Amino acid sequence: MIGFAVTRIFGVAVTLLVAAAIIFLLLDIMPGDPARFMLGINATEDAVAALRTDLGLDKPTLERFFIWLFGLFQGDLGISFSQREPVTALMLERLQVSLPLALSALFLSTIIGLPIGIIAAQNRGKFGDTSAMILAQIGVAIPNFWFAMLLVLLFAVTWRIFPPGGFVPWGENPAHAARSLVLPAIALALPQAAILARIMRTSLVDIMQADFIRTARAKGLSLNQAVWRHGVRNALLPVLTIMGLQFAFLIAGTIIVENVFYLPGLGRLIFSAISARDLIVVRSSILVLVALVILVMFIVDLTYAWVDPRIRQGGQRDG
Amino acid sequence: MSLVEVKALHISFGEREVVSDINLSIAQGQRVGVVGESGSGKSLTALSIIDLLPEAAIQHGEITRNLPKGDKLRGKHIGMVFQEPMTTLNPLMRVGDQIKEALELHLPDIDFDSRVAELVAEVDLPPTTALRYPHELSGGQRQRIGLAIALAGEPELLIADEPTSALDMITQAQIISLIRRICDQRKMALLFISHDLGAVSALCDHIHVLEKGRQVEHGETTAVLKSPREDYTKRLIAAAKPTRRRLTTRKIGTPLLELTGISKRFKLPGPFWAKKQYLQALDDISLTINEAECVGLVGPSGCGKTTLSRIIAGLNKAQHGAIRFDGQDISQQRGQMPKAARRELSMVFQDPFGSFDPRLTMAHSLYEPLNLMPELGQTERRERVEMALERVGLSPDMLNRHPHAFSGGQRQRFAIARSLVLRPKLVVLDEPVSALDVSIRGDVLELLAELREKFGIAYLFVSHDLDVVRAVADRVLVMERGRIVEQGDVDAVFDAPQADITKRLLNARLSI
Amino acid sequence: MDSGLFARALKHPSFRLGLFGSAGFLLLAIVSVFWTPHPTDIVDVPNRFGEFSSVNWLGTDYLGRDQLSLLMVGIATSLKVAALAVAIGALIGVPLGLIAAAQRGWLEAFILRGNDFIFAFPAIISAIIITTLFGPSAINAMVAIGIFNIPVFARVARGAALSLWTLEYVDAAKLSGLSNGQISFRHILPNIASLLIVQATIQLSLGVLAEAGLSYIGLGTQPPETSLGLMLKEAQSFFFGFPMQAIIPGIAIVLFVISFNLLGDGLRDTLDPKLTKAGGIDVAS
Repeated sequence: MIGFAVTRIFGVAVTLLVAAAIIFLLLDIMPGDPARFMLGINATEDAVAALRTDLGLDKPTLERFFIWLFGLFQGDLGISFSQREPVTALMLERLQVSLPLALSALFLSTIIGLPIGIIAAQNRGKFGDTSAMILAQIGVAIPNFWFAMLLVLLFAVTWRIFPPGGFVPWGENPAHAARSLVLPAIALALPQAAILARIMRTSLVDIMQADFIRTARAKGLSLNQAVWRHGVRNALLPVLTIMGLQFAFLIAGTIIVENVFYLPGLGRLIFSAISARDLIVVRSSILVLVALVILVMFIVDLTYAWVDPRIRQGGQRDG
Repeated sequence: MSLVEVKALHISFGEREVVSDINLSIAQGQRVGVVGESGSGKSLTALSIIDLLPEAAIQHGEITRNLPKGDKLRGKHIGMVFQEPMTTLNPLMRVGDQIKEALELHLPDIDFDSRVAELVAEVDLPPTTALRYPHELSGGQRQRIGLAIALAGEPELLIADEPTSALDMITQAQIISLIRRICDQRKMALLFISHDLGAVSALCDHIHVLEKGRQVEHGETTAVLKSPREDYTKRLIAAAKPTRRRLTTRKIGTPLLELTGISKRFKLPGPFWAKKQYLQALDDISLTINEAECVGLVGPSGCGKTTLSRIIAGLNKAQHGAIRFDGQDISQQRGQMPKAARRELSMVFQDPFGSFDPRLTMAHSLYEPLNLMPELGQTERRERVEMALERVGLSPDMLNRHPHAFSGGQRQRFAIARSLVLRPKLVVLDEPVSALDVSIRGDVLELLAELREKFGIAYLFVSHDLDVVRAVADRVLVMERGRIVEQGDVDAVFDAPQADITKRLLNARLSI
Repeated sequence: MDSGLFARALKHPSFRLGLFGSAGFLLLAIVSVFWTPHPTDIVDVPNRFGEFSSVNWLGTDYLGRDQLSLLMVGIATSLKVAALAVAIGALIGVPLGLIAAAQRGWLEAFILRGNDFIFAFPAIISAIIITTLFGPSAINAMVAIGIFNIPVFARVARGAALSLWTLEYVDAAKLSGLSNGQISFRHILPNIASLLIVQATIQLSLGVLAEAGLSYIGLGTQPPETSLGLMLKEAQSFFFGFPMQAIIPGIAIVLFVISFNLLGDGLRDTLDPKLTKAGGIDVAS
């Protein structure tokens, strides 16, 4: 297990380094002169030159890359060119909205999706299964931001149970802050829950045909006992992989759904940075997002290895 | 009074009846065998006795079990072992815990850990095995664990559904003697299901022969084997007996293929910082095959015989050593084997179903080797393919059909025809009859012998079946752990084996 | 795809439903290129937010344009973006997957690492980078979604190809002197084609969803063009007053995606008879 983790950590480090290099290549070298790019074509030569010195653009490319990288290690993401504030502070503030949103959506979708998938698989072909799968089929097809708009219409405009948008910082009014995240989290979670339910069902139906389920039944377990004790754990393996990939979609979804609720999350930071041509903010927030996805995939890998002895012992099968 | 009595059992899926009118009775401590080829309904019969039929199956008839009422049937009174040792255990659970689970269900008052240890010892495994996961065990070890699980509830009847079919010969013999010993010690009844008449007759007092869901014949094992009444039984018995040797008049010629010092090792997966571990698949192999000679290659599974035959055919490369073919060095070439050598050397594979691309017609597959002879014109190509077909007894009008239109035996004929299109001097035969139904094996072996007689083709005949090798080969090579441990004239080696592995392989045979 | 698969799939009710729906959307998209009930580029502000009527079946938008006509053009744009993104993913991903399966070794490891790497860049992140550099457009969305499709196709192709490379007819082809490339094209690709088609329908429906999301946040299609996502973006400002403006394109997206999903599910079930086998064990044994 430790050997497996060390190999993986090494992989994660390399992946992060390559990701940083590519982002740097795209957003620092591709535009030619970033200072000119940020200020636009109407800027005076003097202003451009000043910004260039400001950003350290007179230094060689490689040196700039390492300065950026070194800063990252110290938690210093640079100073926003448009907002004149440290990017780290800006991001931390925004992550207070985006991270709880993404995580609670992940949590919600898991506790809704997996049980539905399991129950559907156990009642394969019966009424409950069919109706759950029809619902899931619809759920998979619903764009989360559109679903969010419908939720606002129902719960915020018609019934006035939840606020339609906006956000009060956690420090000021935690209850209100949490309430503002309920609808966005549901909007994000339900379509993901539909995907999870479908995958869980397929996986469990597959596993229920496995020879070891038959062995378990021959041992004296009832079908239900065999499914719960032996089936579910095995069926979770492919689901785990999908959940890792889903987190990437959830982050994307967070950025989009924030828009519907006017939440001051990462998404809004990035969009204002794009329109302000603030490359400093864009490149750092993208790296943070990518790092988040890579981190979650790493956690999924570890969980996978923790559940499956074949993986943690070096992935060698059928010795 | 019998333990289990099956009367007029019918099983169907929808309209299709797959088991018709089976009658069977198992007395206390009796060992009953059920023999039949795939599709005979033997597994379904067993599943109906332990009440594990798939939901879609409809069962008619009467199954009387003279077992205590109100108790759990499965696991407590009837234990069952299944065929596929690779998939019958939960891959995520230590095997000891899987045994323990059965104990918890049926004997809740005992000390589980010590009982697990006793059961592991009973199936001849070291005590530490209980802490292992299924993937850390070999097929034979897993099957022993399966047996321990089945025995955990102290059943009166053990059902074994093809428990040895996926194992190699030596392991199969060990498992069969283990089952026999345990049944004797526990005075437990056995229902043993197999396609292999040899295995069944080695274990059972009474046998039932099934064909296409019907019971063809049943009786005392010795009586059925001695004087079978039905044609089907007679054919099964004939096929289970050693094949007769075919005499050849063909003179064995000069050396055609010479291997010297061939070695190959595979890197085992592991963390990148750890010292690399290797598996020595072939260790300093030297051998010669002469013109028109048939050389048998035998050995237990994992001994390296497949790797060796693939290297000879040019599918894999050796890391060390030299290969001379027809006087030419073909090992020096970097990369692919030279085309000239490829034309003289071909291969027939084990699985007649995997041997042909399912979406291409037979014509496409049979013309494919001619890719190596671009100088041939269209007419010459057709002549070659048609002649090859004629030699194996197939007609050219079959060429436009797809592989699924043919039986296993026909496909193997096509595969042999494909290997003949280039008119090779040496054909590597990798278990050419192992996947065929016993009744067809004889025909294919006959064909191979005939081709050698007429055209002087040399064979390297790889097989796990010593009787088949003895019937076709002039000389035999015995391999173990990547080395050739014994070789010589086939009769001399098999009549007076020297190497330990040869003796064990010979003893493991279950011929009747 | 072989005709046999298609014929068998036709017996599958959800496949028929999906085929019917997808064909309908495809037809609407094609027709919109030549004809729409009303022109979509003429603004008629006095007639804005029109109700359903015999003239404008689905009403009019905030500029007085006919909703049905916009919907048809929007469907065409969304389909185009999703389809080209699938094409990008398949044309790059499938060869990579085939190469990885054929060559093994370091090249395979490299392709696999690359795959995992791209998985860390959801379409929205690629879209943010591309938009920052080049400004927003439908083509950006297409490229961003397409990039994410590459590892998906590479993975499917490699997985399926690997199992074929162990088969004996591939060995037979090697013995016939065929190169790995020739074997990949003659024996591997045709045998995994149906699997790839199933994946393509799934990625197509995901692409429609992704396009909608990207256009909604302004990283995709831009006015005066229109797409289903852009219609939702434009409807957002008037949503509380005129919810129908967002509900109609939303329903169109849902139906669109469901159609392609049903199509893919039907094909996959037909390909994978394992799930329909009686009780899981082979009936014959």
